[in-house]
Amino acid sequence: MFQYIAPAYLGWSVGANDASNIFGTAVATKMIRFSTAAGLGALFVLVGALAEGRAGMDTISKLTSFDLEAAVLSSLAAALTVTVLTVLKIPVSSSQAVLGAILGVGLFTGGVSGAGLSKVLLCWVGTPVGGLLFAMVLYLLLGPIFNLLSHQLVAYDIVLRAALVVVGCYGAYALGANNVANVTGVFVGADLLSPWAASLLGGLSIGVGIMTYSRRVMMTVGTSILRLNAYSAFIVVLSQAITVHLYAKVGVPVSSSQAVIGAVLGVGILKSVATVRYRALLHILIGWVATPLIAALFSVVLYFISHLRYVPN
Amino acid sequence: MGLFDVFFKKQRQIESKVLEYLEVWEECLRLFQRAMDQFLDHGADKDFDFLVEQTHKRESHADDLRRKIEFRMYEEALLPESRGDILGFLEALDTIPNRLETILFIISLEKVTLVPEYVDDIGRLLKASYEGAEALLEIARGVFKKDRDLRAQVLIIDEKESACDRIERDLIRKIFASDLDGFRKISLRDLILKIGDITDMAENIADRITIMSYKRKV
Repeated sequence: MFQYIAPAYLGWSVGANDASNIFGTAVATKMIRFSTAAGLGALFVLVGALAEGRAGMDTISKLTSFDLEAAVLSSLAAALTVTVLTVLKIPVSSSQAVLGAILGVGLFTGGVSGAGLSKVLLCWVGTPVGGLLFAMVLYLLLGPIFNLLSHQLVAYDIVLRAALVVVGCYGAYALGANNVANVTGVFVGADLLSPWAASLLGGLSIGVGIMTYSRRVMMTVGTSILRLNAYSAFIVVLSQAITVHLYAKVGVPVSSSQAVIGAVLGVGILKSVATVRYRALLHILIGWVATPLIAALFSVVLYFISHLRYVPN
Repeated sequence: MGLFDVFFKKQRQIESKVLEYLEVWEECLRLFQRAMDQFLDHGADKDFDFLVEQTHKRESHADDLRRKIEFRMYEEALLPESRGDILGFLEALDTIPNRLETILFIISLEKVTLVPEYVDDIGRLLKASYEGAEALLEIARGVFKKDRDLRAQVLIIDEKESACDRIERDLIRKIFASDLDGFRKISLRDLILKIGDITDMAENIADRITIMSYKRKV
């Protein structure tokens, strides 16, 4: 049972942190009630994890040939990293934490596939770029449709609010499909869990994270980083969801935060305005660099401690 | 009731409250019109005072409705940007019934009397003001109901505002060229300026509503 604590906790922290990328702006600006956002978010994360989480599981499980001990240690190191960075209020990507932890343990066990690793790293670069491009294209494509309602205030309001709920659900689905592998993928590789059981455990733990602790992060993300109107928020969430979903299809867990930042920049380029507070962006960049390094360090330390033996003279 | 209306009850309630407010706003305008017709035909008599009182009651009712809508806004019934727009829209619209009431109070409290040779001109000034205000009402309803040609209404307001300016200037020139005593001249001028303001205000509010709609355009 103990070995499930670390992935469950990691899933919880993914839910607590990443739901803000989906419903953060809408909840923080009171377009949608938190209870509605959290309920729908948790449900669709679970559906996404069960329906399409397998491809990511395959990637993570093929990335490593860990035994149970290495899987538990890397999972624990990733969970610790997410906790420490969250306490330090540095935005953290669970994908990076997991990969950093896997690399750290891999230094000792050597069970990390170089090809799989380069595929993941390439996708990391592609995530913000994908978010940016989708945001620009969708902003221009869908704008004329919303313009038809621009002079009817309540009708516009209703359609946009409904659109935010729908893309929020899609975003949660994509998050579940993509990120569940981060939470329980190494356990599939270690033959501790079947892909279905891993998806269920991961999806449920992310859902619990959303329901119990995502409100505070949503308020922070929604009010401190982004300056978006409702239409831009809709485009950002949709672009992020499509990007993350595509990577779920490819089977590479990526950071939804990176996709969001890319999408926000895309909207900003089109509107020629500063949609991002650059200080907050710098904070995020520090998190991106620090997360895999700290996770690797934690896993090295944990691995070292777990292998200390008393040798009598 | 459609599926959307079930899920978006609060938004629909706001919409129906605002349309109710616009009904009361129109009633205020009609009562003002009747009061001014009475004033032009018979001076500030008892029937005029009765209509002043009725206009005042409708204006107060419009104020109450506006406040109720504003409280509903704080209950987060609309997107934040829409909330700000509707609050601004109502505050701006509300200045017109206030102005109508003020004009009637000035006539009633200051016992303003008309000089017969200016009655026709003041009648024309009032007619152009009513038409400007009616066009504004159409624009305001257009914020909630589709199939209204807002651009045509904006042009009407623009045209009526120019007409009011011309009538206003001619009237003031005539008044100050007459043998009336100084106090009556100033009193009539103030009344005419206040009536002339109605289309100016309507034009500003129409601009505001147009900007509100453009702001939403992507």
